[in-house]
Amino acid sequence: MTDITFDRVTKRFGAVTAVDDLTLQIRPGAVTAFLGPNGAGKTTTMRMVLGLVAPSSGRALIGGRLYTELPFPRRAVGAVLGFDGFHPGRSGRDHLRVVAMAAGIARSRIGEVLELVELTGAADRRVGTYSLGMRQRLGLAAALLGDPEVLIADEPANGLDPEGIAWLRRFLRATADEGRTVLVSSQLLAEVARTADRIVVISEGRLRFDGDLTGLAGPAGPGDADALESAFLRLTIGEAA
Amino acid sequence: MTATLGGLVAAELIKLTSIRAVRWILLSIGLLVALMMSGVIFSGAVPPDELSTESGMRLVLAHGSLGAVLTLILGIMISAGEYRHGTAVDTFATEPRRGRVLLAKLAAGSAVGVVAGLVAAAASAATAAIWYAAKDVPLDLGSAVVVRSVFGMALANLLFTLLGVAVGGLIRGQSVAIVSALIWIFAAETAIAQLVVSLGRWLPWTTGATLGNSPGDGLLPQAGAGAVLVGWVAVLSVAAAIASRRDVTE
Repeated sequence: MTDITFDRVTKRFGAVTAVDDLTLQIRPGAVTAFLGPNGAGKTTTMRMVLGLVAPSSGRALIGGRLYTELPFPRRAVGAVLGFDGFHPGRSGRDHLRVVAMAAGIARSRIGEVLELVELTGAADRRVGTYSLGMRQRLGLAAALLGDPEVLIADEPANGLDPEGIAWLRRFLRATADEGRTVLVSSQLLAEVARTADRIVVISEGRLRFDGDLTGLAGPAGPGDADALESAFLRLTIGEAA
Repeated sequence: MTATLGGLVAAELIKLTSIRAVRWILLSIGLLVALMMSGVIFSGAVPPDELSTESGMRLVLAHGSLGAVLTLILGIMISAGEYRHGTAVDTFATEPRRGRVLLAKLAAGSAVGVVAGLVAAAASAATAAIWYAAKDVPLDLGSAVVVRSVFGMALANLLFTLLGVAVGGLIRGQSVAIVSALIWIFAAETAIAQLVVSLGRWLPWTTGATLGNSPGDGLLPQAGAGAVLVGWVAVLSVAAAIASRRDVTE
């Protein structure tokens, strides 16, 4: 089982500190929600896990290793970073063929992941004709090609209709229940409240809260949606204001 | 289940064959070459009585190296297109060693560059044959001047594909990279060549034209120009490899 560790990770872009001294461990077998407003540093943090963005200081590790040192990156980590990582003129199946070929994954796996995300029927259409929800699913399919131990998804509920969100919730739950590490970001607490086992709130690049829903809600209890929401807002925009 | 260099090259080739744009560009190369050549003959820029001279033949046939404008753009799309469409994330998540990705792109660029070179060469030879027959001027397609022109322009098209791959790795914004490359070819390089005449012949576009056996005064020899162009590809590729370490934020 593979965990994600952030060891005093800081990332500065010029004068802007996007992530500020983040220390955190994301464990397998649970859905961890990464919550924060726009620009909180969620995307930058996820990109650092994948080695796309180099930390200014500190390290982001997968199972104790840097992403760039993983012998089989796609088997260790699957990631969906947004719904626009596709060439509009390429079919969904061809997108998966590209990834599978580059990663040395058997072609038979393409049909399997297409079934898994329920996209088989549209696989031979050009991605330009896909809805937002279909793109999210194609992104998930690509992430799952390597049957990864860790699944990272940046705002996967973005653009999904209620049916899609329900599907995503079941999917993330099942993935975590298989013992995998699931890290999902969102701007909206309500979106992840029913799925997440653990809530990590970051704002302005800093860790604001790390715990479960009960801990976030305080005395009012996790059943109180208003208490949850005001606690979340206090942690994010509240402190900034 | 690991990323081998062969797998990376094959993946790059799937990228190229799975979108229509690449086929359109290859077709456009043939059309561009045929149109420009027809223009120069039809307009009388090369008078009929000069068509049979060596310099006349070279001038007509050298239009085949104009396809290099399009192979340069194709090369830029191979690299910078990854950022335009956000596929860079999947590419580098699959192979975090970015130098290997660049190598794979250069290899795939070579393959499509050879095809582009063949298209340009075939279009050039066929157009010449048709016009020469129409004008009743004999043309020996097996003659040394024709072979040198056709082979040279094919190579120029190939090398400009690789140049594009390197430029697109250096300048990640695809439109910016294409516009910069076109400004370089059609404005900057001409200006430099006019200001410092001895420098002009060493510049990439001029070496490409010289490799395509284009006639002109004070140019490098054809093989020498080809070697200099290979040098440009090497220098820019190394620069692109170094620049590939930058953060991927698109």
